[in-house]
Amino acid sequence: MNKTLIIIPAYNEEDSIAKVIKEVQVAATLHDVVVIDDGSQDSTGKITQFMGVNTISHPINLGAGAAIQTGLIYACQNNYDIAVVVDGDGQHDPKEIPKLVDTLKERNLDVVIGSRFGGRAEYRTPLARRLGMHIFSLITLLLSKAKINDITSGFRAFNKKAIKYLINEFPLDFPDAELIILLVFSGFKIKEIPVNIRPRLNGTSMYSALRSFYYPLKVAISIFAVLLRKVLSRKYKAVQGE
Amino acid sequence: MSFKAQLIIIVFALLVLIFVFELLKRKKMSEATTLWWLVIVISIIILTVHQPLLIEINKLFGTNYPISALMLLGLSFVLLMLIYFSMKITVLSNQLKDTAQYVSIFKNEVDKITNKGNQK
Repeated sequence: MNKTLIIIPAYNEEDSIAKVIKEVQVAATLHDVVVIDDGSQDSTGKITQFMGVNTISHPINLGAGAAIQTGLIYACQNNYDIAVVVDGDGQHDPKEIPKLVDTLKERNLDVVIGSRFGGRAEYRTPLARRLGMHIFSLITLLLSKAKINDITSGFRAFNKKAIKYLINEFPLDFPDAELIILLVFSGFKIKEIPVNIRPRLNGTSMYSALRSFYYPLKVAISIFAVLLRKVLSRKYKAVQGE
Repeated sequence: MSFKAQLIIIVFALLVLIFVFELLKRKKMSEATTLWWLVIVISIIILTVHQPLLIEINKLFGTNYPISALMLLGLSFVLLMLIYFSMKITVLSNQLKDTAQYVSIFKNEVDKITNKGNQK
């Protein structure tokens, strides 16, 4: 049987983390769970430790990408075959974890993304964000021929090959469109499946009003950086030739 | 360039040099970075004192006045320094992230061993 790790990155999620962990433990009883407390200033880390959940605490806030990367490093060091990332804010329905894992195994994929589109959705994405997602989805399609509608989804399952690759390459700031393009250009097989995405239980999204101006510019420059590194480098040609 | 302008530039450059040496003495600036600043300040002083050289550079750059050529050179140096420090900050940020990740995973392993020992 494949050894699977559920990675829950969390930053200041004291109001939602206990509920998320309980749901994960019910939905994925056979899998191990690790919470990455990304330097929270509230009681997130204390709550998870009190619940007896394996917790890795960053001494400082390193950002969402680094928190997921820490989980992937832990998965690699402890020889896990599959890693599933579930956000600590409660947006990802843990009942969908088996669906992601099964799709990854049955279709022999490297990465499976849980999409808010195409399935039942308890949460309606704001219009501005939906527009941004469609634009970056289109850019991703044009550049990498990967048809991913929910470009910002952090609900993902990775196999061992993808875990090993991403422990050094995981994008640190807004790890979404950039990650997909990076993986496709590096020859990984990605598929998007519809899942239930819920509203946040508490707190505010990282895609807040102020960041919404910075986000598209950052993602655009990140995509450009991936293209520079991959398309123009010999490494890309070598990977493609494999 | 007037004598007054020359005097102001040289005095300012010397003040910068003294400040840089003071930072070096207090170990708030590395030897490598001091060397960069030293090259910049000494270059500015040489060009200010040696007028024929500055006039040649003025012709080379196509600027209207020697002082503009000096400004252009100074600005180019500062831009290069900014790029160098941006690169340094990125490298240091990545090193800090790697260290923090390593420490947190290591602490997690130590805590697990300690907890097992306490249970026995």
